[in-house]
Amino acid sequence: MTTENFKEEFRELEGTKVRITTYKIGDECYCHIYNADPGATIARATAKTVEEAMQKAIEKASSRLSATVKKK
Amino acid sequence: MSDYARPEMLVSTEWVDQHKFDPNVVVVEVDVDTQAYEEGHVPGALGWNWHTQLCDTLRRDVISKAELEKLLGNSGIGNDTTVILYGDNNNWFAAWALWQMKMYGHDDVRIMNGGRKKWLAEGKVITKDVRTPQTVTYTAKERDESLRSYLMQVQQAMNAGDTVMVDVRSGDEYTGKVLSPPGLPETCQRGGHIPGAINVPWAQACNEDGTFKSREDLEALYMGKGVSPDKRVIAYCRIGERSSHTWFVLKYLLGMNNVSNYDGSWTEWGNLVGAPVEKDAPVMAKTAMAS
Repeated sequence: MTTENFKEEFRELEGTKVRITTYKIGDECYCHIYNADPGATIARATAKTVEEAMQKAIEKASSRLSATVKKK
Repeated sequence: MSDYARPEMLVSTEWVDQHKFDPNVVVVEVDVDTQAYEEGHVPGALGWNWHTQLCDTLRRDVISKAELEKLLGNSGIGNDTTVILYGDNNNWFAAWALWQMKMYGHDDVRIMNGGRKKWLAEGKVITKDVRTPQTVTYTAKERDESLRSYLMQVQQAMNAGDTVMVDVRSGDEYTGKVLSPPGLPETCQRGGHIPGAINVPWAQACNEDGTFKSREDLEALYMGKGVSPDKRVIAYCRIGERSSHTWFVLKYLLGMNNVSNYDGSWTEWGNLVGAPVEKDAPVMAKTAMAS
């Protein structure tokens, strides 16, 4: 078994730069979303397609990030 | 990797691919995301959970000597075993595990350069099979406290001005704009940094593929901000794990012997009543400029 279609991209969600990693292992597609710094996992999702996994993970990540307090 | 002060502390993904089943080698994955191991891992690799296996789960502390002996023994790791640690996100928590193993005196523990990300990106074989190692007896040494700094030592260092303190958190954490990394729980009452500390975010030590930057680039990164081998250095972050990564870089890749990890870090300092806090971003620590 190997990892297929390993991809990584940076986006901004809720004003925060995040790193989105997607790949496929076997029949499952995975999406992990990390804060760009330090790189802690904010959300992860598994689905049958990359698009579906990414959509689910982005929803979770957006929810968590919107709760982060920014100090003035 | 040959230019590093201690090049043997790193192994390549190719090396691991060739040696992962060697009888005296144990490969262990330690991830930030504790579920990542279950998706698939290096064949034969064990998985350690940093939440439950690499910290005291009752009081705030590193794992005890007895717990470390149990963890390593149950992992089939003897005192002479070559342990290869790797993990997600630039080997963040692999470094945390290595720091603790070094505190308890394990001789041959190394990091797979590039970690999980590089292994996956290279399309190397992974498995979901979990190996059951044969339990062995492991005898740890007494903890080497020189690799660790406690609050009182950090306070003394701040007052004496004889130490370079390296805050390895993000710029926004350092200046107090945020109290925790985005999306994570806030664990302190105040934002900012220890007065005089310089800011070198930990992941700046790594390349995009997860490998460590060259020695030349690392020297430019740290020495450009006043960190040098002739100085005492204390690294800290929020809870001490990011700074264990920087500790690894400074000690083994750049050969700085007088470096320790303040694992109490900002969650301790930022919650202290009356502790001095800075929010400005000095270009250089005063200790660095004084020498």
